[in-house]
Amino acid sequence: MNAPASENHDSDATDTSALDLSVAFFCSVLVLFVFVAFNLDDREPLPDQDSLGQEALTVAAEPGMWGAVVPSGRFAVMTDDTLYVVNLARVAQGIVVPSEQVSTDRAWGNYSDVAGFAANQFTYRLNLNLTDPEPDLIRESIVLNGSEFACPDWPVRSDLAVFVPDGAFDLGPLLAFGATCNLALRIEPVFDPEETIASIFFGRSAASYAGERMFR
Amino acid sequence: MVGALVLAMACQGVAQTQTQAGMQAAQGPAWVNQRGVWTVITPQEPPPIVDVARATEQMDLGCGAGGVRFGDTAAMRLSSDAQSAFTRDARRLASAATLTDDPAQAAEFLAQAIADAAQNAPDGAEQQHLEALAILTALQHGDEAQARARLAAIDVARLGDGVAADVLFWRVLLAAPTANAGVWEDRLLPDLDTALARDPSSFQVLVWRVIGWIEANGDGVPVASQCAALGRALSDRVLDLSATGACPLMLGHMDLALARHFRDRVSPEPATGAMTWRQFSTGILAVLARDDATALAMQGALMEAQAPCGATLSEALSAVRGGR
Repeated sequence: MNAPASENHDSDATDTSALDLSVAFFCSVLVLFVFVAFNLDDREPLPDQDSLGQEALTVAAEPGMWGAVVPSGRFAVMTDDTLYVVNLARVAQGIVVPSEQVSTDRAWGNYSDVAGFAANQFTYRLNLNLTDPEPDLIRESIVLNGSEFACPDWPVRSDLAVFVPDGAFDLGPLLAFGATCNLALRIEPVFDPEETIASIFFGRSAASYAGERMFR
Repeated sequence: MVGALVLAMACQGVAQTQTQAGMQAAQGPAWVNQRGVWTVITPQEPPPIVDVARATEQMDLGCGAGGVRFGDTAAMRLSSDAQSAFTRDARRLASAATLTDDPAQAAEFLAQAIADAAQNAPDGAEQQHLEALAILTALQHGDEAQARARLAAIDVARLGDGVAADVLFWRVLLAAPTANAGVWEDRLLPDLDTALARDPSSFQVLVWRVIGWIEANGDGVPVASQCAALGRALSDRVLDLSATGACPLMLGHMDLALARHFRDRVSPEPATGAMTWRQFSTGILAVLARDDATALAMQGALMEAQAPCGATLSEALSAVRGGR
C-alpha cells in the first residue's frame, strides 16, 4: 500500500522539477532583457547637443522686495567689456554748484527739480560718451574679461544699477561679476548700441513710491 | 362649535409662544429681575477672532486705493498737491544728498540745507523734514552711529505728525536687531502704535506692527484660554496692514516682506510660536487675496502643527473663509 504511493510521489517531483527548471530559465532570460537594450535603429545615434540656454553662472533670481530703508545705490554704464561706475559725488557737486557741473562734449547733464512737498524730488539726465568717457565722471572702470576681475572695494552698500545697450548684448560677464562680488544688480537696457553717447536718467519723486512700483 | 375651535387654536398659539420664549431664555436674551427692575440680558457672544465684516469690506474694495501711502519719508507720503516753502538752493542740496555715493558729502549738503531752511522759518515744517531726511540718508548709507546720534538729539514732541511717525519708526528699526520679546512688548510696540496714531498713512509702520507683534509673542507658549484674544490682536494688525489695498499682488508682497524678516533671523532652534503666528497671518492674507488653496493649506498646517493655539487659529481661518 505504501510502495506505490512513494513511487507516485517521486515521479511527481521529477515532473515538477523539469517545469521549475524551464520556468527559472525563462525568467532569467526575461531578467536579461532588463539590462540589455536593443538598438533597432540602423542610424548613428546623435551626439549630445550643447545647451543653448543659460551659460553664465546661475544667479539668484530674487523677486523685487520692499524694505523700510532702501540702501543708497550706485550707477554704472556697461559697454563691450568695460563697466564704467559713475562718480555720483561729482554729479551731486554739479547739482549744488551749477557752475561746477561737468559740461564738455564728452559728458554733460541736466538737473531739474520736481514740484511737490519733498525737497529731494528731482530728475537728472546724464549724457556720457562711451568711446571716450569723461574721466572726471567715472569713479572706476572695471574690465570684465572672462572670469578675471577684482571685486570693487565698496562699503556695505552693494546695489548696482547697470545701464546696458539695448538689443543683443552678452550679459554673461556682468552676471558673473555680480554673483562673484555679491552685488544686487539691476540691469536696464537703455541706449542704442550704435550711438556713442549714452543718455541715462535718474530721479525721484513721490510717484516713485506709488502702488507696487516700490517693490521693484 | 366655531367658538370652541377658535379657543382651541388660541390656546395652541399661546402654548407655542411660551415654548419659543422658553427656548429663547436658554439661548438668546433673557429678562432678569435685578433689585425689582426687570432688565433684558443679552448673553455676550465672543467676537470672532478674525473680523469677517472688515475682511469682506476689504475684499469688496479689492485693488481700490486705500489711504495708505508708501513713501519712505513723511514728505514723500504727502500728495504732489501739497506745497512746501523750500528754496531752490535747499532743493538742490537735498537732491544732491539723495543722489551722492559719498556719505560725508551727503551729510554736509543736508547740514547746509537745514541751515537754509532754519534761516527762512526756524523750526518750521521744512527744517523738520530735512532733519528727518538726514536720518534716513545716514541709514541708507549704513551709518547707524550717525543715525542714532541724530535720533537721540531730536525731540519727538515738537515734531509734526508725519515726521514724528518716521522718527519713532526709525528708532524701532535701529532697536529691533537686539530687542527681546520683553523690549518689543514694553517699548517698541507702544512706539509703533504712537507712530500709527500720529500718521495713519505710513505703510512701513503698518508692516512693522505685524512684525513686532510676532516678535513679542512668538517665543512664549500661550495658555489655551489666551489663544482667542491673541489671535484677535494679530488679525486686527494684519487687517490694518491689508487695508492698504487687497490686491493679490500687494498682499503677496506683504506676505513676502514678513517671510523674509522671519527667515533671515538665525535661531538655534525653530521658533514654533512665531511659525504658528506667521501661518495664521499668511492664511488671513490668502483669504483676502481669494487664494483659497493657500488659505486651506495654512488652515491644515495650523491644525497639524500641534502647537498651542494651532487648532483655535485653524478654526478662525475656516470661519473667515466660510463667512466671506
